[in-house]
Amino acid sequence: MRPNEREDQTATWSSPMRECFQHCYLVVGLTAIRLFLLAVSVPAQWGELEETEIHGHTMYTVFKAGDIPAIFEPTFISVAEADDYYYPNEPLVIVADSNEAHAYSTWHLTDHLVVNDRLGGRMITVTW
Amino acid sequence: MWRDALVIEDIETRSLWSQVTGECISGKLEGKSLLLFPSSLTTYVEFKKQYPHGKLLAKLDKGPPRSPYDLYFADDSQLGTFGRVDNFERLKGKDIVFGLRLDGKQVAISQDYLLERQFAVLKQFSPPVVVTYDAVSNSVAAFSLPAQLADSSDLTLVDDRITLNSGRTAWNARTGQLLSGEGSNLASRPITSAFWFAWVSFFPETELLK
Repeated sequence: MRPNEREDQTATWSSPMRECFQHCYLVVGLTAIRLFLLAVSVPAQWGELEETEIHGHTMYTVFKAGDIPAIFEPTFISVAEADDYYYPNEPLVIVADSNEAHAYSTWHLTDHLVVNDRLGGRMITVTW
Repeated sequence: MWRDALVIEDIETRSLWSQVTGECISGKLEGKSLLLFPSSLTTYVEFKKQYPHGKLLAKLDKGPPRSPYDLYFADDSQLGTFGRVDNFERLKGKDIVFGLRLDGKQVAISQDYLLERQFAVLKQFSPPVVVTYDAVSNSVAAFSLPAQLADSSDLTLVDDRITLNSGRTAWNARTGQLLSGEGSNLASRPITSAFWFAWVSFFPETELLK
């Protein structure tokens, strides 16, 4: 299993969501909207897509829960350790407050789409 | 995919959430919204410089030095979900914009605009928002100006610093940290990088700087 994965992973947010909407922050800072490319070229082996109408627009269910592993318990490395894992021009999403800064590679996030994290004690969800 | 963007599901309630707006579009929490958290875009080499004590998401290995979507990004004919046609006005569908949503208003700034100027002050918002851009690292960030500076006319960008009063007051253009003069750090604001076709799909009335 790769780091930052768990067996029951899905591209979803962790619980408790009932309270989360008041306390969770969504980071859409990056070209997250670009991600629909996954639906642009649907492989033939996926077969027919499920379509659902929501607020007058069609939602296409491209992936089932679990197909893309979200990250629920992210682990981090320091800048000093990162040279072995990151390229100089590798694009990053940055979230920061006065005390800490977290960075997420968009190349890496392509494989996960969602990271459930905490910053400054606040729950955040980073999407790409 | 919904409106050419990702839909996210939460485990506990199985509600569905729009990645673009943070709103719950279906399920038990429909109508609720998550708060957008400020973030910025940059490169690893720039992050090391600005945040030497920062942390990076661990990964198994370095991987290939490219995005798996490079071909998609380079192909202007591929838009949206299942064959959307590029008949967009104001910009081409695959043009990159940086968008802000504040005070019920939406403003998008084309990448070409920022490539030329590296800097924009948006007085449509109260307080005004300053957007900084570095073409080398493709770094973009947005900050709210203190209310007392709303009418300042000599705000400018010099050597990766937002400066005021002929440089006597300056902030780091990437982090908003106060570097000199009186005042405090600038507050970050959420800014979204997107293809024009996706942004205008969600926000058809958006103002555009190009």
